[in-house]
Amino acid sequence: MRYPVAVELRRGEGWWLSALLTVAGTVVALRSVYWHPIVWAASVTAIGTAVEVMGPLAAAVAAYAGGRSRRRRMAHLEQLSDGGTERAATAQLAGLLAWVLVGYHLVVALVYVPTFVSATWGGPDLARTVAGGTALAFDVTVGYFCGRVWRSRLAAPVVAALAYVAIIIGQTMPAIRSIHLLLPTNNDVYDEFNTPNDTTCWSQALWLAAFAAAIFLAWRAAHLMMRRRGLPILALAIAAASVGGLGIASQDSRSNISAVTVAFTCSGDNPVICLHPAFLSTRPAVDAVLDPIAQRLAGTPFQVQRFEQRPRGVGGVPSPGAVAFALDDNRQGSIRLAAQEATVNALALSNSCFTDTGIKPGYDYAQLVASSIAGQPSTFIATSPDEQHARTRFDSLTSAARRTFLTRRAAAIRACNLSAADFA
Amino acid sequence: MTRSWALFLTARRTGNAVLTLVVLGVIERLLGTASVRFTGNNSFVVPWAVVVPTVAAAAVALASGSATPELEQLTVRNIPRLRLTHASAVVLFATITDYLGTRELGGTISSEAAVRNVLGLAGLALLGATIFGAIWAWILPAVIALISLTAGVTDGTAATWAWPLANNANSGAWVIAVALLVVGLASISARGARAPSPDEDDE
Repeated sequence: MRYPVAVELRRGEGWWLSALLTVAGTVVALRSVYWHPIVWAASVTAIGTAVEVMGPLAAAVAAYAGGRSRRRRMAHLEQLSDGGTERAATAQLAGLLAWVLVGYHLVVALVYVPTFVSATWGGPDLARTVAGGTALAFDVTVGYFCGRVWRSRLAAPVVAALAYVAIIIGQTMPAIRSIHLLLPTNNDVYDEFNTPNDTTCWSQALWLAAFAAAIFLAWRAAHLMMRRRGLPILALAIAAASVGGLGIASQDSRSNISAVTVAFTCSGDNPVICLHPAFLSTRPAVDAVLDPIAQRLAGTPFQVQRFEQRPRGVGGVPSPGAVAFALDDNRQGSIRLAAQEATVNALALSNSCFTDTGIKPGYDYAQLVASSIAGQPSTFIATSPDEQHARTRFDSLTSAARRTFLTRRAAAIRACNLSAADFA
Repeated sequence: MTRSWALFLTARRTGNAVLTLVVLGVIERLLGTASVRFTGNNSFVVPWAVVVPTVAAAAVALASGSATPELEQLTVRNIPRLRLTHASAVVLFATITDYLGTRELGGTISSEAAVRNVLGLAGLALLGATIFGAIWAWILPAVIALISLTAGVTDGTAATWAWPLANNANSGAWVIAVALLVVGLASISARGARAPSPDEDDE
């Protein structure tokens, strides 16, 4: 067996497939973390996103490789060779899998090494990373046997398209949401406020690996006219796949467990700013936008003494008296967004401007005030002469006059009832 | 049509490409909407103005490979000019069918973007045919479309390299698409699609 595998490794389609996958996967993964990974959860999720692109490409090239012997009119030579078609196919598939996994590990290394250097909290998730590699191996195996069965110049692009559609359906169809990890994909968002559900991820790895093995063994059994010695191994693979599949279903396909306990790191005194330890490297940038907000609100009913980073949705409520903000990553745009959120929460606008029937008329004027307090006046775009006048008027106020404005109109701001008359 | 042209088209299975492009246009016309949205926790909008041109580009490139590449090297005719004319005509036909198919699309990525994407992705596919052969010509458009759809948009704005997702009026995306088309046509005209290995049958 050693020699055919060595030939496949050296001369098969795998090496250039590996290069293609490495480039495509690395671009997608690093782009997903904005070229500067600092949070392990984001990097682990990025690898899952990369597999979304690598999987269809790997399946396509495997389908092309699967048709090789018939395309070259060498199927009879395979059958006449030592070990026959079974050995040739095993060697070809093994060569492909080896190269694909080399590509996957390169992508993982190119994302995880910079994360390891920059991250201040957490670590890689082994189960989810292994499941990603197993998903690629599954794509290659299925693609390869598609190519063996269907010899056509269209086989590769059609297999790629079907693999991509399967991934998209797995990510989006609510009807299969509870079993979507049976498909070779997992880019469920996993953030620093979650812990990964290793039971699901290991089950997915087992399911995909055993299912791929079962496909290979079933093909071999059919090809060799049901040779008896292969059937027990096939039964074992099917049993293992069943265990993995049941593991996924029993966890309802949840790849995350929410509500991890986080010891926030707080600093500063007026205001105190509390960050998730995974975001400590962003502290100077966060301080630079939140400190001025606290200064602008000092001495008003909206005075802030404590900002706390919190997730959006579940677990998003800050300590009593504190103001929450969410921070997604270390980009300047995300930090500006965090400043906007902090301001909106400090002014208590997040709920008051929105009613069951729609947005209140005072929303635009509340936005005007919030954008100015956040230090981002250009994010407010006036849509009427009244709003333009209000903007000019508010921007021309001194710091003290703004505090007076906020104090006198605190009730109107909280109720989202500001109007043009307030800026006259 | 002269007999030599008829044989030239037959050697490239141009009829299959034309049929594929017509079917694509009809399907797109029947769908008539800008997107298909799977609903759920993660909704995904399929931008037809990217997907259809990617398939059209693959059809264009598949028609660029000759069944008799060695014999064409021996001919006294001006083969580069024939290849340029043929590829240009197929790209033009793909552009027309794509425009007619996507005319009903709404939104900021509609028929104009679809036409731009056909031009750019077809150029990329023709370049791929020169490098990898016609059978693998679809890979470059597929890779750029896949990467763009997966990671090309940040905060609602497409990155420069994700030009297939750019708005209709994005002039930079048009420049990239036209440049790719020019490069693709020049490469396919000068060198033709890479011939398959002599021991391979690309049927």
